[in-house]
Formats: sequence, C-alpha cells, structure tokens
Amino acid sequence: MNKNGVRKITVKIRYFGKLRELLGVKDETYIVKKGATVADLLLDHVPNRHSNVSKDWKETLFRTLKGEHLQEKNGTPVLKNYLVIVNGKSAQLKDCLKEGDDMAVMPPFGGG
Amino acid sequence: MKKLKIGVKQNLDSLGSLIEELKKSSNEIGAITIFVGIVRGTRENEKVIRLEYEAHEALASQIIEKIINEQKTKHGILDAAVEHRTGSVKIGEDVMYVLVASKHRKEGRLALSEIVDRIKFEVPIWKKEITEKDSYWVENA
Repeated sequence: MNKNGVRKITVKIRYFGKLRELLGVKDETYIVKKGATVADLLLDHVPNRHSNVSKDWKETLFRTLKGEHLQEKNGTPVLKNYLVIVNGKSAQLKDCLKEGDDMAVMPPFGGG
Repeated sequence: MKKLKIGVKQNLDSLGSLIEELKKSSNEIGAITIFVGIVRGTRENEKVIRLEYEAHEALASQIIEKIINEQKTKHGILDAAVEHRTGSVKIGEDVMYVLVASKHRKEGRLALSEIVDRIKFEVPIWKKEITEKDSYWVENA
C-alpha cells in the first residue's frame, strides 16, 4: 500500500522478438494498482513508459481498422495473433494481475 | 517414465550422442527417424547472412515435452529427442534436431513430421533473418 492508501502490486513483463527489439528491453517491472488487468498494462502502462514507440507498440499488438483500434462489444481492444502468458499460462486481456505475476508478451512464433 | 531429451539452447549436442541416448531408452527400438533443420542461404532472391533465434526457453521445453507425449499416445512411438538452437546461426549450420525412436519406421515417420510441424507453430521460438539488404522477423503462418 502506498502513502495515499492505494494498494499496489509489482508485476514483471518479458518481451520477445520484435517487441523486445521495439522497446529495447528484455524485461522490466511495473508497480500498478491492485486490480490492474493485462489490458491496463498493454494499453496504458507499457506505452506510457515507452512513449517514443507507443504508437508502434499499439499498432503492432492490436488490430486496427482505418487507424482506429477495433474493440469487442464490451470495449476491450482486440489483440492480433500475439500471446500473453502469465506465470506460464495463457491469459486474456481482461484478466486481473496479482502481486509477483510474471507476464510474457509473445509475437507469432518462428522456430525451425 | 523415461526422461525426454529436450533442449532449447545455444549449442546442439552431437547427433551421434543423441542417437546413443535414445537407444538407451528401450530395447524395443527398431528405428530412429531423424530431421535436421539447416540454415538456408537464400530468402526468395536475397542472400541470407545469418539467422538469430531467441526463445522462452522454459516454456519452449515444456511445450515440446507435451508435443512428444501426445505423439507417444497418438502414434505409439517409444521416445523422442528435440534440440533447437538459440542465438546467432550461420548459413549451413544445423539449427534443429528431432529424433524419434519407434518399433517400426512407419509410426516414426508420421510422428517426426507432426513434431516438426508443431514445433514451428506452437513453440515460443522467434527467428530473425539477416539478409544482405535488410532483416526480417519470420512468422510461421
């Protein structure tokens, strides 16, 4: 809990492939409000910290139509074929994060 | 259950040592079927200089193990070994070994083909091609 009484959690994010290259870091830590979702990290916290590439980040990760982000009926943006893994398991944008979560954002695979 | 031989790492073990390791896993083995992935020197009309691989190594190994276990159930293979390189790989160098041990060659060939295909689409490994003119992140589609 911070001095204003807001509960905070710490989460780690790891980036791979073109995302690691775009941001220039392999992993980093964010301190966010308890109850923050995967979408909050990907749409707000990460682009805010990396404001020099925030437009590229969003265009790389999320589907757009004529420059606008596509949204589900509930207002959630739509990921391209990128995978988000939290603690080794596939996660959805609406999922809430917990203290100590280890998140990985993965572009389409290219092995072999 | 026999331990699977899986590695996503900088350097591959020798094919000979992987074959010997697999042969130890069962005295019912009658065939070992092998795929060797090699870095190709061209991309369409461009000359490729090298490939750079990176992986979520722990998750990659878990998924490869799951794929192999599913092939054991589906095709009745006895065991398998998979190694995939990370880091910079030059033209002509080996990048991936997949070895399947089976009683007979037929199920070994079927499983080998499916394991190689699934590694390309399901395992968190990324590849950047560095060509003479440019560089590209390759997405297996």
